[in-house]
Amino acid sequence: MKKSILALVVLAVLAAIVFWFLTAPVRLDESVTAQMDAGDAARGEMVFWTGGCASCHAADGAKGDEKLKLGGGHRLPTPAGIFVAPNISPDPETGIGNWTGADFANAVMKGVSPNGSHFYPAFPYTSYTRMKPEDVADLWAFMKTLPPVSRANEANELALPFKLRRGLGLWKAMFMDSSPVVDLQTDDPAVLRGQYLVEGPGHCGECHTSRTFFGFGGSDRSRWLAGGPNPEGKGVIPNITPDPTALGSWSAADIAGYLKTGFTPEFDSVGGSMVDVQENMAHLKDDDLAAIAAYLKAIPPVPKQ
Amino acid sequence: MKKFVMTLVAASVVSGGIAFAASHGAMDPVKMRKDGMQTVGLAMGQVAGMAKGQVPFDPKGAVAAFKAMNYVSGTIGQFFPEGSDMAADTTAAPAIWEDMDGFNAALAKFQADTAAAIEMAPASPEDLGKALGMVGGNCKDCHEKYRVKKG
Ligand code: HEC
Ligand code: HEC
Ligand code: HEC
Repeated sequence: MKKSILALVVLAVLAAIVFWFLTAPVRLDESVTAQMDAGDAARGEMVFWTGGCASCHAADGAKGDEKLKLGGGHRLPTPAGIFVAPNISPDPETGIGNWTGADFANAVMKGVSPNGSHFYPAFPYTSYTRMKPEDVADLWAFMKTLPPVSRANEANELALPFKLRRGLGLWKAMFMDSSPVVDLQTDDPAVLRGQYLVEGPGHCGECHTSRTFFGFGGSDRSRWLAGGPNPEGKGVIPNITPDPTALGSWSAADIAGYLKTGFTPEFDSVGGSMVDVQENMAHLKDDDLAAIAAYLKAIPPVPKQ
Repeated sequence: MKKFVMTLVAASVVSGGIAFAASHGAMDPVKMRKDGMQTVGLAMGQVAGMAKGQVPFDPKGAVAAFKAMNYVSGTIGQFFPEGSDMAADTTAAPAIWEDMDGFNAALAKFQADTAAAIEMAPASPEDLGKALGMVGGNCKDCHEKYRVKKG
């Protein structure tokens, strides 16, 4: 009896140690963060639009230059509760003006804050983790040129079990995977560039792919970009694979045109949360839009469920 | 070609008109509003093609297209009866009925902007581009809030 209690205690201690290690934040290597202060702001602006940072960190309904004021406040409803995007403008008091390039890279690529806690994946670092360090460095150079906004952060409104950031380490260990999603078997540079843009900074899969574990898990790679219920509640997010029930009838030029102008070939217009994404995409160079379209035509078609 | 464009726009206005005229009968409101919106899409396609030089510029055809949009914007509001967001084949969002004033304001703005484009009577593809800029933003501004894909 005594022995079995002892064994239980030992087991519990072991489990706690394993949990602690499993949930410990993993930071980027020095060799990566050392490059963060050598970025180019002009190139970084393109990374900024591809990454869609303004969609969450600018004020709701911001248009034009207002999208460069990243005071936060956008609310994201999820199954775990409501997340409120923080201030990431260069304001030293309420924003991230005191951050180093290494702090920034660890947040974007690893979801780890400067004080070593985990960010929630409502911040789509699960995609940004595939970004090239030089792109993150360029983005950081651009972020520092933006106007400071003084606006205090609001707390997230989460149900209790989700309030514990440490547990996110376990979530990351289970669901965060920085490998390429699709094995394309091609060396076409346009398709590969498109893969980088879509699976990395563009984070298209965060909306267009359903999640495992009743919506709490990671992207369901077996139904990559095949759409699913809209996490914001109403309706669905469309399937954008080349299946005949999805974008099969769209040419690559139709897809690139939609991202640039917001109109489909039938002159229906973009709607819902895609409007913001499309307005960001409209800033991209034509060859990057063509690359995204080439990738969307090259991925495996997934039929409607 | 010019004639073809005119005929197409005219046909779409007429078919839209007939569809709307029949509205007080037993017509299905969801079909009515979708037909109306398709007319708008067709008209938009005409003017965008002209502005981009894919279709020869035709000032009368352009004004006719804006008239078609203006007509729809002024009449389509009646085809959103309470509860019709539940129809199987509609992409109208529940937000329309939660915020009918906002939806009507968006329609009113669409009507005013298309009226201004008619008034402007664009005389060159460049002017047409400007008119298009004024009108085109209405589509996604309204679709962003009041429309949702339902698969
Ligand atoms: C889908 C919405 C969304 C997008 C897009 C997004 N973020 Fe965020 N971001 C968030 C949320 C939500 C948080 C807070 C997460 C938390 O509380 O753990 C956050 C946190 C951050 C933080 C930490 C700020 C702090 O004060 O701790 C940084 C830095 C950041 N984001 C940068 C970016 C950059 C750069 C981009 C674009 C490449 C971006 N975000 C795109 C939602 C988003
Ligand atoms: C914030 C969520 C979100 C993100 C991120 C997102 N989309 Fe979308 N997307 C949507 C929604 C919602 C729609 C439906 C739009 C509508 O109702 O008109 C859509 C529609 C589309 C369509 C048109 C599909 C159709 O059948 O009409 C394409 C193409 C598309 N998205 C491509 C992309 C690409 C490429 C990316 C990444 C660069 C992306 N999306 C990122 C939410 C998103
Ligand atoms: C004031 C709001 C509003 C404006 C402005 C508006 N639309 Fe729409 N549109 C809607 C709604 C609501 C629907 C969904 C109708 C339904 O499915 O019941 C829709 C649907 C559509 C459809 C799909 C019709 C179908 O058959 O399913 C097209 C095409 C379209 N709109 C084109 C446009 C274009 C192009 C413009 C701009 C020139 C525009 N709309 C402006 C509200 C608007």
